[in-house]
Amino acid sequence: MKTHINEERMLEVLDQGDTAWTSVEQSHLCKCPACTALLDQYKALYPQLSAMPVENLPSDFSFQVLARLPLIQPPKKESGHFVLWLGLGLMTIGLLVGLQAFYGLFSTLVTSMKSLLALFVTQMQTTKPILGIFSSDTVRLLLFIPVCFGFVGLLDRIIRRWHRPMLGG
Amino acid sequence: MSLLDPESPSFIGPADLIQRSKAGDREAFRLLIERYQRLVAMIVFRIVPHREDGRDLCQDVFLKVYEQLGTYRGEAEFSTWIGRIARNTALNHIKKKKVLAFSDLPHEAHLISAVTSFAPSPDYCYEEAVRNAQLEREVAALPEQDRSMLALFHQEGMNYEEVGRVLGLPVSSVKSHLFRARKRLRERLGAGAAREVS
Repeated sequence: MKTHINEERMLEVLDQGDTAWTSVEQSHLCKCPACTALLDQYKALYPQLSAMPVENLPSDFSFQVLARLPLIQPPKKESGHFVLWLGLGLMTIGLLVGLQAFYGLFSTLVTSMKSLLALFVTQMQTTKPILGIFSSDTVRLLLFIPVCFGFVGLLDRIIRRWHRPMLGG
Repeated sequence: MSLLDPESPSFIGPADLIQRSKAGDREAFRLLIERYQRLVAMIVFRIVPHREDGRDLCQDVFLKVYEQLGTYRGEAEFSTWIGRIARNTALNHIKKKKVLAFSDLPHEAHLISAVTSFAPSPDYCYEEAVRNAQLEREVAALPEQDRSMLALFHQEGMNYEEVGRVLGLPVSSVKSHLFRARKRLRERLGAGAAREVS
């Protein structure tokens, strides 16, 4: 190894506990005083950094904090969003019942599934381009399903964000 | 033997303390404070140099922790969660009050602060205090993020991932920032032995 050991590599090895040197690096370190000197400087820096003084808090610090606790509300209980999801579920059921009442949604869905199956069988039997499938009402209806899932997912994210207090904000 | 001492038979782990604190056990929360107050102080005082402000902020951090404890779900280590609260609280304080950051203080102030913060001990030696004061001064001259990173990595013993989670940075950024910060410190503090690239 003719070139010196990269400084970034030196620090990476020191961070891992000085045991990750390759045999080539080790033999280089034995022969190269410049790299050894540099490594020694970093080795000297590590304990200094670890031993930097930390501001001491008063010995009764925890009691001081507790003394301020009655002034604020107790910890918020995790809600689990049960009520919100229950509400959303009821709304969805209401929507589906309404759609069934006005447009006969479920019979449409059954008919659609049947025609989709028939279309699929036809597609398998013929060599028509598969893109023709998008002209079908059934497929449009089926495309609506992932959109619904996406919408519910988005709603979930919004609810979670709304419920989670900003850290330190 | 303390309840926070892992060697003690009556040792209570952080997970238990968190659960009990969530249930409203004030003594458990007090023990939680004792367990994490060093971490919080380390982060806050790396950002806010004023002792009184820093102490008040440390209290504010734990009040926020108490308020938000119900939302902690254990997805991250508690130390990284509390570390983020401490950092955001200190940064918000700096932003709101427009107070001097550590790096804005004159170098002499760092020297005095660093030398006086050493508790006298039998093996106390002036040279060591000066050397440490010099290090403290050079660390204080680093950007806030680098200072926090050094403290979390070297003093708190966090790994790259944990440091990244506290500071909201990817591991690659943590590595490169740590490298630059320590290189700079070595250059400023080291003997200055130049290395010729062969």
